[in-house]
Amino acid sequence: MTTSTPRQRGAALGAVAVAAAGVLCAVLLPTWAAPGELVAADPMPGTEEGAPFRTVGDGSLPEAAPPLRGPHEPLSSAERGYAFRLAREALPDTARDVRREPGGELISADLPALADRTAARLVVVTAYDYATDELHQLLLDLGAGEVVSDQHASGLQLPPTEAETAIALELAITAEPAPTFVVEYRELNNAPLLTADQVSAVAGVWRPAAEALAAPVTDVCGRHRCVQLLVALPTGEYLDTHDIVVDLSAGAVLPAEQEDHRHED
Amino acid sequence: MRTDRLIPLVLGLALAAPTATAVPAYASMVVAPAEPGLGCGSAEVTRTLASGSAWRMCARIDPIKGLVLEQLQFRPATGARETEGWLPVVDSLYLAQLVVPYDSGAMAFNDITGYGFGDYQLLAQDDQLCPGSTLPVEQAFMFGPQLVERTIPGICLTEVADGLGWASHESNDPGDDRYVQQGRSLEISSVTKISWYEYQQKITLSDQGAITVGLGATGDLAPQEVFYPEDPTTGWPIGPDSVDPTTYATSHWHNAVYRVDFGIGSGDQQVEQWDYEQTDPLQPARLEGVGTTRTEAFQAPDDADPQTWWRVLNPTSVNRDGHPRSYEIVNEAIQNPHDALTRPKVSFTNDHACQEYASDNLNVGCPGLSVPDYVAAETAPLTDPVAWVNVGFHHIDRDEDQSPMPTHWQEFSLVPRDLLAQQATTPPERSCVNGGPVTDTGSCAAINVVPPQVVPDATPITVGTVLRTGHGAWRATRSPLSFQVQWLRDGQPIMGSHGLGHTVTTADQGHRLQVRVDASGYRLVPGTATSAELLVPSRPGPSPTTQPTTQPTTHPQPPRIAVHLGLAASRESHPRLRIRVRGRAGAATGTVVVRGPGGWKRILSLRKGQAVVLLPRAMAVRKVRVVVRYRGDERYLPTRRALRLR
Repeated sequence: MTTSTPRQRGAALGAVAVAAAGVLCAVLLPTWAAPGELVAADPMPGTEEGAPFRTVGDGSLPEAAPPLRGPHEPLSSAERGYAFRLAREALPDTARDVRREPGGELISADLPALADRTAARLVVVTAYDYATDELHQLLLDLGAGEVVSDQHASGLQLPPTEAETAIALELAITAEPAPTFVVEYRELNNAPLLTADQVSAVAGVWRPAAEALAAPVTDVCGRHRCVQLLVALPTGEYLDTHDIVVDLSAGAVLPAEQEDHRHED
Repeated sequence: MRTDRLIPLVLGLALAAPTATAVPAYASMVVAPAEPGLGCGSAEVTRTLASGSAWRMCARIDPIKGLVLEQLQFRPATGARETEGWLPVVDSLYLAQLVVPYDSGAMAFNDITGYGFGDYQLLAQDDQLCPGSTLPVEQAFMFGPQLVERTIPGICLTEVADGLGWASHESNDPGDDRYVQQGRSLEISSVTKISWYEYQQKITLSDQGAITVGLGATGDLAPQEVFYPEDPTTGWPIGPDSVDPTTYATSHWHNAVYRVDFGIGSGDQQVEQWDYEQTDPLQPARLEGVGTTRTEAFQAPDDADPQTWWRVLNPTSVNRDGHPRSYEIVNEAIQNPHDALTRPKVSFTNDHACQEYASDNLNVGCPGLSVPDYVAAETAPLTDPVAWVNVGFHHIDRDEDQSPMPTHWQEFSLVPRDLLAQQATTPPERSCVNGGPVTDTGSCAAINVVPPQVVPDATPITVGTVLRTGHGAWRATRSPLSFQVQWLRDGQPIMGSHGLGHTVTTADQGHRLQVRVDASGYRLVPGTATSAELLVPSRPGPSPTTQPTTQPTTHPQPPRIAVHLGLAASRESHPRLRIRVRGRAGAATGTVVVRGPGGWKRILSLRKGQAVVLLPRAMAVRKVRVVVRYRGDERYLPTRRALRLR
């Protein structure tokens, strides 16, 4: 097991972005490193095939309610941004995101279930508070600028965000002892894997199976926010990451307990 | 954004050919009034298929679930013959979980709740991915402290040919009358990339009202480095034996669980289960079916009889026959038997907003729960049914699954059962076939197969030339057809010219003449056919135009309806008869003929459905009987009425 400080991870995040998310383009990198430095023009709706994501304006969240759409209409980017702002303001002051910055990790914003909709413009925002390892689900009324309800629970893990994926990859690359994929990279390329932009990664939630045996990874994951990395070379060739799980809550890389081992007896 | 490149409708019988018969484009009968939308703005999809049936819904991409359809509504090609407007059928439909365990036991992935199908995993639809048109998808999420966004063509809409829709011969004589049509469907799809797999979520909406929900998997097999263990019992060799005889591509399941929230009409719905049993050993072929209303949440038993099936019906929403409308679940996929979640063919609960996912539920209102938990927790009677449909695929890799892996599919269908009293694209010719023994033969509608022709008895055509016509050829009908002939000058009826011959007058010179034949019969949908136009020269010339200047037209018409003919006579200083012709479609057009004793006759054009005729004073004094005949127009049937003047 190894750890690194949140600040170190935050600094590494920008560099990880490009490699961690194939569709996140390089413009994000300087934007995050120096907010407002690069403002992308709005893409034309429906015209950007295979388009990268771009920062909205200077990346900051709108202060005021944008024009609101009908109750069943997909959210505009501005509505999502405003919903994220309302949610962040409603989260506890102690809430932290994956970098341990204030505000909680804002994971998604979308319409509530059909049965929960009204004539108002309602949005559900889901956020993870790394300070308490709790998932918050806030129902927001964008028109009123109000929080309708705020429920939270532990043990619920939504798919990781791009930022979480980036952090997880950075943690895995710098872990000691080196995970298999880092060794594999060195053997295949005759060069060390030092930075995230040398590979690409997809991350998914990892939680132990119900019948899993006791192990550090099965003990914490689920309560902690753990992810499994699928790491590939630029050629598309996947590296072997099945021996590790990244515990984002602890900032640690854990050896994965394999089911085939569990069933040996 | 591209526009639809519609594949031309391939009709078994070409429209313009002399043998043309049923005209499937019955959609022309469906006049779409201004109707309220679904409230989803740019996500609303309304498509009328080439065969006339139509679908509308809201289609969007959820950041986790991917493609979500809401408020699905269907409108049959038969339109008002079946129902007014749209039929609501499903409230929402989406993939609620996708569990991918590898047979080696080393890894299992929850591709929906663990990875997600929206956000950056969604692929843009380009010309190669999407042969149809696209819907823009606006996406935004937080990347650290910053809001990022993109708008991509993320949903593909393609109208496709389904192959043979229906074919029916009237008798065993293959040369006899027949009814043939190709089927059409609308495909709504999106593509998501989750590491090595690329999934197409595709929902196919047919012109018969069927909904087929499919998941296609393509991309590449799992990477060899991790998933090719040396165990022939859990994999399949896909490389050359000379290179690597001991490595096997690992088999795996794609366990898809769909959530279907039914919304057939409005009000409470029911789940009905049908079971079949052999009750008489002496008659082994005899099967007795029993339908049972399931009033409590349940999951299909692990050892369910393969004959058993389920439907969701609305007892208060009935079709024209009085039968409750329903959708039947047709799930011929296999189910993964090694997991309590994926074992049942289907489970039913009521709709609860917090029960969003089939397992590892991400909604804080019902945290971490799965379908078996929902079933166990349900206490209310089953009146707002949600079906959790398990659609499995056990992928045992093959040599042929290598890059790029050909798409493999798993799917189930929702098939209408009594949604309509007849099938959704029933042609007018079969519109009277509804229940009972089919002993009558012949078309239920007057359908022209060869339009009438206009032939001059001499050329060049000049004043006095007689133009002759016939009724054309009509499909054999169940009751005899009667015909009304109307000659037209520049498309307008020529007063008094109703015979099979028309003598050219000076008024015809320089104008286009044609003949219209209206056919009707007892309990038949009336029909109309019009000849090609014939241009009468302005004056006799060396090269008269005797060739048709336009193609003859056969109009599939909505059934004409009855009209009210109102008569009011006044005996003031100038006796007159006021005629008023109106019906449900408003004021009638065309002409009325008024006849009295001694050959007295007047032909009047209706204006705003009315006409006034001055009567000879002598007729009024003698209290004679006059007969008023309305010739009908494209909306109204002919009618007549007599009146004795007082």
